[in-house]
Amino acid sequence: MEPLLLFVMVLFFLVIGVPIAVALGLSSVLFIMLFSNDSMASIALKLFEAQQHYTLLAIPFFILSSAFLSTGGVAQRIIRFSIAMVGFFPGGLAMAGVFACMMFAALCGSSPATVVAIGSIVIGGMRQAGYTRDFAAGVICNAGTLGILIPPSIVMVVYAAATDVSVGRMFLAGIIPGLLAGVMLMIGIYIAARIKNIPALPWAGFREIFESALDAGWGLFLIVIILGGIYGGIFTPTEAAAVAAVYAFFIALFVYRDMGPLKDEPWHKDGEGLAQAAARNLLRTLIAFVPALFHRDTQKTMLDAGKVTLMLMFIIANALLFAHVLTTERIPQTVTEAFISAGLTPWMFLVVVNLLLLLGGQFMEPSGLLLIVAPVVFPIAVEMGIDPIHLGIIMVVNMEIGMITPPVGLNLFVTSGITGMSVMQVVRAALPWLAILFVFLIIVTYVPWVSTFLPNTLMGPQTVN
Amino acid sequence: MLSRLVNRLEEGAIAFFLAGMVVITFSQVVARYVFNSGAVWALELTTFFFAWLVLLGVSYGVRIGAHLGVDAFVKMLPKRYERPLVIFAGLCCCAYAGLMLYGSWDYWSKIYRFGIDTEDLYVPRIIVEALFSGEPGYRYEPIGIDRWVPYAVLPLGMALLLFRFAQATYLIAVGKRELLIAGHEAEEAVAEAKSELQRGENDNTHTGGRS
Repeated sequence: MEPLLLFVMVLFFLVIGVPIAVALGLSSVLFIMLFSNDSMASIALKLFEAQQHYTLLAIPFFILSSAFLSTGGVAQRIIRFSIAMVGFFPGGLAMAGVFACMMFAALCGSSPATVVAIGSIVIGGMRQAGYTRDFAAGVICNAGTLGILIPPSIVMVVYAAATDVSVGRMFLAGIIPGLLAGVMLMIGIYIAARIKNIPALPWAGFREIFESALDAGWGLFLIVIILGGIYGGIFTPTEAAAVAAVYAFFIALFVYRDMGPLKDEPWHKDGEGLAQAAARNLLRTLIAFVPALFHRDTQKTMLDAGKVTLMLMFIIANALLFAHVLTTERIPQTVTEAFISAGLTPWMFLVVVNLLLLLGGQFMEPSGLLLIVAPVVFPIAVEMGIDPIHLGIIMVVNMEIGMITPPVGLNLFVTSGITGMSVMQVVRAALPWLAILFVFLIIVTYVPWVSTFLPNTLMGPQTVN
Repeated sequence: MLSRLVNRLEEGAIAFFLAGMVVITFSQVVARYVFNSGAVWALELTTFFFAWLVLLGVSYGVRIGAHLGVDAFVKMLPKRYERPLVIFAGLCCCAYAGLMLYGSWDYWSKIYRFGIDTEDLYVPRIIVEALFSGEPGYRYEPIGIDRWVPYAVLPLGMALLLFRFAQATYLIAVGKRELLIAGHEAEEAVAEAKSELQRGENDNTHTGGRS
């Protein structure tokens, strides 16, 4: 019965408005003081040790690279490319919104940030083109959740750290499900557009596709660096994240020039020769190089990324402490034995995992929830012969859905914020598309191939230790 | 005046440690491929920077209200129940910070007394030689850095956290602050987007409508 008290405490603290990190930490500390003889010194040390974890070291770097690239300017470029690619289908603008969310997700690991960046541009555009507000908000609210499924994803890094599977495998495993979810949403839009007779945009032509791809490509090359670097064995995931952060800095300040000392400096001025333009750009870049490092915009981006990092790491450190208490209380073993002796099939077990995560996702931040649930669920899954990578993807997809189901769905609040609709209106608007994501969840849960094919083909089969 | 200075210090420290982590890790990749070398101390120093960033930063996070929590239930309550509950939540946070401060101090004072070295960190050779090379018959010997130096951030950060939680609770009690927590991580960005949206609707030049 004692372990139950632990969960009751967490829930109580959360409901009265204590920060998630403190709710987890305080419950663990109180529990240890009551039932265990761990010293307070070893508990406090856990807060420091979370930052010594090599895998988790990738988190601040990924946050920083997405801070440089999740600006309105980058979103504009991606949306332009998306419209050129899929705009000519019926309901093309909505499809382009989904497509843009998928690409933006590859630059930035956060779902709410994806909704803000893409949604604040696309939803307005869709309404001008004659879509209803509900349609526009519902589509973007759902498509934005792809942020944590399409690599690089911070939630995947956290799962890898919690269960000692490789980050590289998790990233690879997210690709096919991410594409599948996007395509399913787009098919849904196509059908809805056919029924509702939503017009298509004119075909933009190959020239526009080529030009917009080139423009968006600078940013999208980031994912090539990360995935290519990891699978090519050039660097570790943590180093890949650091390289990505440096690359993002260069692209944002010197290529896109959305911020920093070269802001509004055009690449090509009217009536300027090619050699002259090249010389001017080279010179300006060289002169601006050192000031750019200390520019106000750079500092602000660093600070923003730092804020997100410390907020997230505080939750993660306390969730690790919580997980430590669970393990010392042998809760995972008890639960495993209960599950095995109940004769539960893997099929039923996955249903239970789904329900548990959907419920927990109502209250918790995804990374924190994952760190609490993974130590309990992971050993059972291994015992039942479920692939750890497959389990990881199931968990991530559940987190996604948790973000768009009331009462505490992050994406709902964000969408309500950028459209001015009430949260209940957003819930209603998101519902039909949520059904598509549920079908997607069922596919991901019961067709392991979707998650395991890429990592097993490219990196060899997973071995369970 | 003082609060402006403290603000600059806190923000500067956060940006500095994050930048330091990126620069060290990136330079290690460059060193490996371009110069075929690397520094043993790099990884340990990066993790210490990370710890300093987070542990010094959490108190700053409390001050600006960046920590995530569930505000849905508290906001449903009538106003006169809301404030006492939030004050109670603030006291819980103070208790947490106090317990952690006690534990950190306990740990830190122990390693201070025992004087354990860090794994790979040494006082830079230049400094050591500048200090001692004047002595006759001196030969360079590396001097390790004690563990209590990087770990000092643990009691320091927890003391600051306790202070900021107490301050926030006080501000709530006197009605100068409403909540301890942020409802979601993108609150600021949403507020920005919202004001932009309104501007866009007013003059009807909203971007993105390439349709």
